[in-house]
Amino acid sequence: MNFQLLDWVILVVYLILNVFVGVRAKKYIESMESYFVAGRRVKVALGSATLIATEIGIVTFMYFSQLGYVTGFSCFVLGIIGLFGYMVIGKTGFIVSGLRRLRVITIPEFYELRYGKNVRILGGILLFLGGVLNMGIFLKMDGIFLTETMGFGPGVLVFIMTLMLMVVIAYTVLGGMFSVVITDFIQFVILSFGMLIATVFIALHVDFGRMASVVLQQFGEAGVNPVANPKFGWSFLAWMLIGSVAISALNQPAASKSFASESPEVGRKVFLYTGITLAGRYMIPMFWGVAALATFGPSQDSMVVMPRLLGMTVPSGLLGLMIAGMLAASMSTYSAYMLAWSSVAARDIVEPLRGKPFGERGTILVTRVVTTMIGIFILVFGLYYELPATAFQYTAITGAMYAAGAFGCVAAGLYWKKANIAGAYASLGLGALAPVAFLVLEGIRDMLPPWAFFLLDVNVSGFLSFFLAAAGMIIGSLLTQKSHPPVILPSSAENQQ
Amino acid sequence: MNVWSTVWLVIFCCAALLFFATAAVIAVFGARDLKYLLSRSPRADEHGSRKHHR
Repeated sequence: MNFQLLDWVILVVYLILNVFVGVRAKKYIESMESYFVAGRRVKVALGSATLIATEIGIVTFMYFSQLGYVTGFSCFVLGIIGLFGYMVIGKTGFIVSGLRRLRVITIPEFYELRYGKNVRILGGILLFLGGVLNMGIFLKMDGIFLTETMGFGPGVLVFIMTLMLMVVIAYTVLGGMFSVVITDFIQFVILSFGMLIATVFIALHVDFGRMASVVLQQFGEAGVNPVANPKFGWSFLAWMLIGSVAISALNQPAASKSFASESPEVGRKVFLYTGITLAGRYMIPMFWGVAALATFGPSQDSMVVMPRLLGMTVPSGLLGLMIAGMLAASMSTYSAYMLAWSSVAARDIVEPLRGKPFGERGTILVTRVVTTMIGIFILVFGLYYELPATAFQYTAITGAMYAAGAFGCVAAGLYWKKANIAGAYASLGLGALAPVAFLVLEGIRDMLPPWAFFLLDVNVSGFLSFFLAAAGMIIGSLLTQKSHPPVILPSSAENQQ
Repeated sequence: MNVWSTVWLVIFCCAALLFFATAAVIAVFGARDLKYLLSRSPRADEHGSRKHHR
């Protein structure tokens, strides 16, 4: 391994810089709005940098490279689908502009405006559970990446995971969104540079022709055709097509960045410019995974091959910078996710259940406590949970748990006058049903009758979640128009524009 | 290398170039936006106006 003293120096300096900047950002917090959405003063380029930094983490490098290793080039199609999703939002402002115009801080706040307080609580619980489960595997992946690239082996995994988490919690808890935005920007610059270094050295190390021949030899047509690949197929592509729009617009950590923007128009443009980078963000780590396949062959642990390749190919000095870049990517993801999910817990679950407002200081205090609790949860969960599918499919199915229902409720709430409370309950409940069934049934696979095996197909479950959520909203609303007349938003005329 | 492999590798190269080029532009303009964000904070405004008065 190439990780030497110089790399350590770079890494330690970087970590100290991050904590220092994050903690200094505390002085900018003057109100709840500045804590949660940085006072809504974020412009296009900064908003794009912070959104990209949020969406790239070591975990995304890990699961995309794992896909590259186990499916070959056919997974590259995800980059094109994701690009499509972001372009739809970036061009039309679909969902994000409407929500930004209503000046909400969290997505369940919209549920209360359109469907009432109880829907906000249910939506908040689903969003929180799905979101925290979704990030449950992040820390473990990061630990594997760091131990492999730095050459420690699995023995120090827990130590590295704990250290990383403490650094992130420190600056997220203290500085809120200001700290997240400032550190995100630094992290965006460093991680882009780190990705460039890694890609250049891998491309120099592994010949494109060899990669192509290994993929064809290993997978045949399935390596280049996503429809022919048994891990994908039509159900997966359909799920990803809908999911790319829904999860892009309604993933609370990403949506928070849009809510923090200066205006609805800036929020839309943030998605447009972020979307331009999307295909590259997906395909670069997938390419690393294919390169790892060409280097190590097919019978290795799919989780460790990519970091091992990086540790082997990137020279000392640059390796420290690259790992700082990867660490940067992860820390920005954690800080944004923890802030987003803890703000949902504080504002949409704890406060409405309590029945009276906490006040600004109380809300921030609850958010800080929940952030710390999420940190402890993902540390424990990450150590003991065994993945039922590929890591990408796990994050997609837990994402679908909240995104499917949220997509039904928010899209219909903004653009369909007949959407009502009954439709919202049906959409949230049915949207979560298939992913929850998948995660539960996967644990009792041996006890299931053969006819129920289709539920264990992660792609079918993912697609079903969006289909059921949409059906629940439409049927539920249409059947109960008289008993539950829809609530019209005060600014709905503006939202239709 | 068959046609599909070549197509995917070309798409990958375009996507990677687009990513790094956009990242460079965002980094330059993002630094300007960050300066604006921090300078417009009311507390920072207080500090700024004190500097201007000097």
